[in-house]
Amino acid sequence: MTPKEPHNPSHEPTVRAFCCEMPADGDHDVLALLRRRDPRGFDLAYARYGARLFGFLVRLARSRALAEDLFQHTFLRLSEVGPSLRADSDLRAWLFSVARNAFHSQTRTLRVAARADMALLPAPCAVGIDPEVSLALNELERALLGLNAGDRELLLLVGVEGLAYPDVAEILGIDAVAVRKRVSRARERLAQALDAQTGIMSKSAVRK
Amino acid sequence: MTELDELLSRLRRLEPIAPDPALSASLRERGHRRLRRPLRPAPLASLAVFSTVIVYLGWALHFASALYP
Repeated sequence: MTPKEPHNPSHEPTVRAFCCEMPADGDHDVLALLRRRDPRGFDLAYARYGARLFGFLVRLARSRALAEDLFQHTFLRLSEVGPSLRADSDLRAWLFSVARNAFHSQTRTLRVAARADMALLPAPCAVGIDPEVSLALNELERALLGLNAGDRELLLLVGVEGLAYPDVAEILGIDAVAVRKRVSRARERLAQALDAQTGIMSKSAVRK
Repeated sequence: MTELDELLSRLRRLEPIAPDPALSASLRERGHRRLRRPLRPAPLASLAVFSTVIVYLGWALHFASALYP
């Protein structure tokens, strides 16, 4: 973070600028470094996918504390297994797959019925974003958090992360056609949740 | 584009969430340490190989001594 930027205790907005997108030739550079047990490979993977993976986990787990545990588990697993990953491995799919498996295993073991922690939502007026757009994004975030874990997971992978259906299919261990159908149903439920939320908001505005 | 496709594109505008800098620093340090740690052979695998060799040698000795009493 540059010194000119305002203090942001939640570390939420303005992150996208620091996220490196996956290069066109994949993650060969990261995988080659990891195979040589070079810490720069770990750093590069962290810079490329750290914030995206953490955002995915916070929204999936709906708990920052649980997301932090799962995030650490995923990257420590990378430091253990990374040197033996194949050169043509899809690192992004691998990371998201480890993270979501850890989430499901954790919730099964602990029977965590995590309630949505609304405090983890990004600040309504992020720097440089139109307040109206920011409010709409906040509503979207709330509607997303209200969905079940399965729907949330799909919409996070396809919608927020922009992964293609075959990549999501690989992460979830199901076929791409099933992913397409499930995403379609999850999108409908999200739209319904948004409609319901808008209805509640307009009712409360009328009361005022 | 349907209304639902528009919904997906709106989802794409949600910001990534960065982990706490202290967490990042500690995680990177632990990750580096694990990465640098020399590989140790799995103790169970080594024990299994060692005991198989001993059992085989014992059996071979027993077999040979039975041939030439």
